[in-house]
Amino acid sequence: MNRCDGRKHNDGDVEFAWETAKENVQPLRGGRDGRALNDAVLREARAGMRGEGDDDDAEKAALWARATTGTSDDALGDWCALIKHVERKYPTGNGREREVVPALERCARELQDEARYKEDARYLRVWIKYADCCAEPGDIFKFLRAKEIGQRQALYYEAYGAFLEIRHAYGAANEQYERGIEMRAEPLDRLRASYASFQHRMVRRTQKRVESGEIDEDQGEEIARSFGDTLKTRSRTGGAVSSRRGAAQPEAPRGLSGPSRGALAEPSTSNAQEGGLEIYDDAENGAPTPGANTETARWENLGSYREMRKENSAQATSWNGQRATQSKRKVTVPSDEITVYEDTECLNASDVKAATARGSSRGQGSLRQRADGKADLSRDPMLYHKSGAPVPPLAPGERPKTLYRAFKPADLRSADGEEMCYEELRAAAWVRANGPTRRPRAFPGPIIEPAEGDHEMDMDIEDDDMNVHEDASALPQLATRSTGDRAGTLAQTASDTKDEEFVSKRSYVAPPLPVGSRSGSCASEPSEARSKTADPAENSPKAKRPTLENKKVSAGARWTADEGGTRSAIQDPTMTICTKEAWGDIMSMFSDSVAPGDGGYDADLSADDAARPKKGVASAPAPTPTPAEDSGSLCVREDTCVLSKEMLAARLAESRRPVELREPNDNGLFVREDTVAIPKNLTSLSICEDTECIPNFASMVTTPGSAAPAPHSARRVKGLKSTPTAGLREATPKNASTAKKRPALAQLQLINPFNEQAMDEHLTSLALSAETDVHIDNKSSSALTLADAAKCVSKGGKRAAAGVAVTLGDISYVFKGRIGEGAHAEVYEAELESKARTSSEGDVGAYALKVQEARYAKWEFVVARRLLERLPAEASAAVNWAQPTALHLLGGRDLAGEDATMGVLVMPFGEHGTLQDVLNSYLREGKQMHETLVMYYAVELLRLVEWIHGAGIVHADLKPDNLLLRNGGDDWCDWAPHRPGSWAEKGLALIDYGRAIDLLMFPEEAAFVGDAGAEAFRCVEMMQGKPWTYQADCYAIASTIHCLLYGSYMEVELTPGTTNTYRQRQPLRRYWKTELWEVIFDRLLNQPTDSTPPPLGSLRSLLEEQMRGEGQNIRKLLMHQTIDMYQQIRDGKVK
Amino acid sequence: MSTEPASKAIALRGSTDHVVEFFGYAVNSVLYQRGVYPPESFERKSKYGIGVMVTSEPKLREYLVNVLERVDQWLMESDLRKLVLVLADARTGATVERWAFDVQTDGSKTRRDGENAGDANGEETMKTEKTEKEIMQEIQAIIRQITASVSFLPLLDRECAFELLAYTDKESATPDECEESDPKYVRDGVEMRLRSFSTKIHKIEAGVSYKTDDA
Repeated sequence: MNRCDGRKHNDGDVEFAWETAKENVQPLRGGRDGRALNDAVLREARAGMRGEGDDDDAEKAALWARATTGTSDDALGDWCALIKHVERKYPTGNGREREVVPALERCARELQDEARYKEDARYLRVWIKYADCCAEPGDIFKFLRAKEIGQRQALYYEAYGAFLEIRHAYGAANEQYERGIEMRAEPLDRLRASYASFQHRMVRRTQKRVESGEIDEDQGEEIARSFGDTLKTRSRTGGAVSSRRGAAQPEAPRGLSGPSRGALAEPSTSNAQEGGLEIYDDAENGAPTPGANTETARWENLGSYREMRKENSAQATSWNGQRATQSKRKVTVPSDEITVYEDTECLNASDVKAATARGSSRGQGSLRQRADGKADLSRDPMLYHKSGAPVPPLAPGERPKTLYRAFKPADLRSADGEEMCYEELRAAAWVRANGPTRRPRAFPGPIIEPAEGDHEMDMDIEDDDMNVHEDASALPQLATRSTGDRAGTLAQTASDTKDEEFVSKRSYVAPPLPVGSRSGSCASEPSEARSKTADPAENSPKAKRPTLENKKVSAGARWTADEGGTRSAIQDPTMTICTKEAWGDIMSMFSDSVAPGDGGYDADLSADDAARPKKGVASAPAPTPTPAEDSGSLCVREDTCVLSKEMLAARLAESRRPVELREPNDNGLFVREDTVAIPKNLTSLSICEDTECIPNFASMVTTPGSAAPAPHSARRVKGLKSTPTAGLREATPKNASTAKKRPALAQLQLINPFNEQAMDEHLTSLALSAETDVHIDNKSSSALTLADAAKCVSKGGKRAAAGVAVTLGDISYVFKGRIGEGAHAEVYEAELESKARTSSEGDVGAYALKVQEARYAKWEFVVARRLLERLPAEASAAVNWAQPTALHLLGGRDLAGEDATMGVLVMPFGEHGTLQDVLNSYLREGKQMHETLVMYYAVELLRLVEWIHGAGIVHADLKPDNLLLRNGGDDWCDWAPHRPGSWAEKGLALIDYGRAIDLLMFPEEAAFVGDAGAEAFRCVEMMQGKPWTYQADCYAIASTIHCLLYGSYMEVELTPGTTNTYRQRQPLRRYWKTELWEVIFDRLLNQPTDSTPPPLGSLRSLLEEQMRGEGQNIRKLLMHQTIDMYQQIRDGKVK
Repeated sequence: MSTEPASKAIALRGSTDHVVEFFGYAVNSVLYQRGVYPPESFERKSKYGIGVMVTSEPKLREYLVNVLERVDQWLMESDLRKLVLVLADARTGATVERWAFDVQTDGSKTRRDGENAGDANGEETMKTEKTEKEIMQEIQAIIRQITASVSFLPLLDRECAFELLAYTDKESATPDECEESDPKYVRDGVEMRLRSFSTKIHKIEAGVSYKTDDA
């Protein structure tokens, strides 16, 4: 390429000098005169070569003089002439900056208060040009607005909008365009056109970004605002997108066309000498710092160009509609409690370290311990390996797993005022309690774990203090006589603690350890802590502390693992239990509860706090007999508690007979395990038969009243406390007189509801053939024809498109296609042949034909009919969709259809699809259902299931696939809990009762075992091999809601700190109604195996209350969703 | 001798190809640079040693292809004098820019009637010695210049429509798909000459006239 070199004077070079300088030339909006440009470039080149400045331009000087004298009538015109001149003359960077920019600045400045120029297009153009050279044009625009300059010019809004767009402040840009249009800026058409193209660009932008999955749809056009940008990419209004991703933006030209601030050349100070320019400085102008003052009205003076350039740091600007990104990582719900997790890996690693480290400082015990002289390895190298050794301090990174409610720093202080950590305190206390020698004791304090997930474990450090303060000598006694003199107080205060409600639900994952008293003695910690808690001085529910220690001990007891390294004993309770075998083991242990063989463990399971109070009552100062009994062959672990034999017997006995409540003020109330205590202060409560007291967690803690602790099997953590104002559930007409606790396993009649034989027998007994709508087709060919037709339509193709006609019984159907396939059945869409030819009214139109094994078809038919009978009228709408209009039995010879092989159910076709289709429509676009809409569907779902439970049916196969959408009616009014307008015809319908269980067929104490349904929807009990009743449905509801909320299958885990309360694994999003969902999930996932239906109605009310104000929103959301789904179908994205 | 007409034909053919190709790219470049069509509808192609933007919009392509076909025919018949690309305001119709490509044909080389004896006496102009490479470079230069013209061309913020005008010999007939038109000069425009390139037979000069918005 030819180079423009001042020396060469090729024709081409000279003539096209501008070409080579093109990068340096500031493009002017209005264009330049090419020739002048060329001359200018040449001149500059030559000048540059010669090293001279170009300040001998008389014309320029003259123009300057004229402009600055301010005497002419048209100052603006003078300025414009000057600007034009210098622009032409100094097209490239340096000269431009030297000459043009000051001219622009000066002109702008001087005339800014002149009213007559405020709407002068030329003046505005000067400003825009000036803004283009500026580092921070945003301020200029704001200034102009404050000064009301150019506010009626389209140019202003276009320029501002373009600038904002470049800075990615799309929301703001949008605003500006709109404002301009509002202000009727001239020329309006041009502005409109610019706005339209801006919007067009925005749409394309959002599309691109949604596709690339950067943002959800509802983030829309707003760009996240990022903090802590690097200097390079920092910009003030609207963050730079790239910095969010850490990519550095290249230095872009500054001013209107670029987002980042480029390095600016130092202004030459020679300005002062030229033409008598005055240099404006801060003091003179009193200019406010740019960007800091967003109230443009008070803007007197824009800071000078030079001054503004000095600003290097990004200023915090007002929130201009940007969004701060949340970290893409999942944010756990921040709640009151701090859940501290223990990493099993860390555990293991540190264990190994602990075991092997001798001389390491860590192995030497904490300073405290060493100071106490207890943990000096030099004295006793086997310190940690003997039983009764102090707890080795946790390695950094290990954290005990506990829940804290409130942390009181004062609690951490030891007697000497030295601050200790929990481990130290605990360890110290333990050491004092147990001493270094082995004592074959199982300490009576049960490990109390309030099984309610909601009850935070209070880190009751008062206990620690007390422990620490205790006289060392006193402690061992206390340990041995754990209940000792405290027993009395214990009994008294047991009531204010949650003893009653504590169920010793251990971490089931731990198989018994052949551990010495070490763990047993460790267990004493909790007990003594508990005994502390009994101290009348301490009032708050204390038993939480033991849990902390429990965990600690397990950490401390880690070294006690087997040679085999099975550390699974002290597993995190949050381990997701999903193996049947493990549970089988545990449950088998449970069932041998009486034998003392695994005494410790077993004792855990069956014991509860009542043990202690009971002992308290017994009050013998020496509970040693009891522990001593067991100590022999007892496998005592850290959470072993000792159950006295009497207790055990009593417990078992009571499980077989009604509990005689000892509370004097029982008033003959029958307290069952789900009796809920209503706090006294709820006076005006109307309790009817399905009142359910939703546990208000706080109130649950201190339920007043119950006196002497009786050995209820208070397993239900929901506050089984008999109080005078207990609210009762009389939901079902069962024998209310039998205070039903959750029966021991042995009590339940375990039935496998899916037993085929039983089903067959039952079906036979029903004599289905006599029913209307049941058609028996004995033609042997029918089954084959059907199979062929099915295959044909499944494959698709031309023949299938027209429909394949099949005659079943007397009715001819035209098969159109296959719409679904499951483990048991296939579903086809078909029409009545008669309909295909003519269109008759009274015809649903399309049918869904479900082809499956005869047995299941029959059963489904039966259940559907039964439902119809049992459900109230209002409910029928929901189940109508599952009502088969006909059942065809094929393939058999028998006239009664007994030996039919295939069954075809003919049901109305749900043309709106299933909830799974809805889900898919979201997933396809990478979007998520709005929380409010999930609530709506949840309400619908709960209503449906409530109905069928009320009719004694457990669906057992609830999943989004089996929930049909209803979208009837045209009255789209706002939603309300009472379902006005067409809302009653919208929502969901439950179909597919093939696995349903009719509870009325079974005795009351029946519980079911066996597995059903899809993997992701099997309830916890099924997974664990435990018996279940309604949980199958409750869990499935929770799982379905989870799918809607998260778009993924639910996984459950044990709520940390409990042993049998579950919660979903994925945390709730912060901006959801977390409290609500927590309650809902907790209830749904933690239902007891019970013959009474679960309180779904109350959950629904809970939801409806929350949705009360959202009626309009729900309507809109549902409409949008419907539209989106149709759109997708139209676009051919479906299938 | 007998090869001369043939070789000339080939030369003409070759040259015409160059020219037409150049026109194609040049027009595309202008449309891209001046923002007549949205930049997304263009794709980058490698040509002349640089990347040139050509439109991927089917209708536009079709139109251009057709026009250039016609241009090609005219060139082969040595009828084309000028090809002009006019950018006009979509609403008002006023010409805002006018890119003119003058075509000078070396008549001696293209005379259909084999009367080239007169020229065949070694009056080789320097044009004949052009190599492919040189031609390429020259074209490259022009295309580059079109890009560089941003330094002096005004911002076209209005929607523009473009037209292609062809100046032909007075004698040649107007084809059906074209219509007679006025030159569509730019009023009060500034004219800038751009580079030129030449092949053995043709010399193309480029220039642009535009309006500056001197306020």
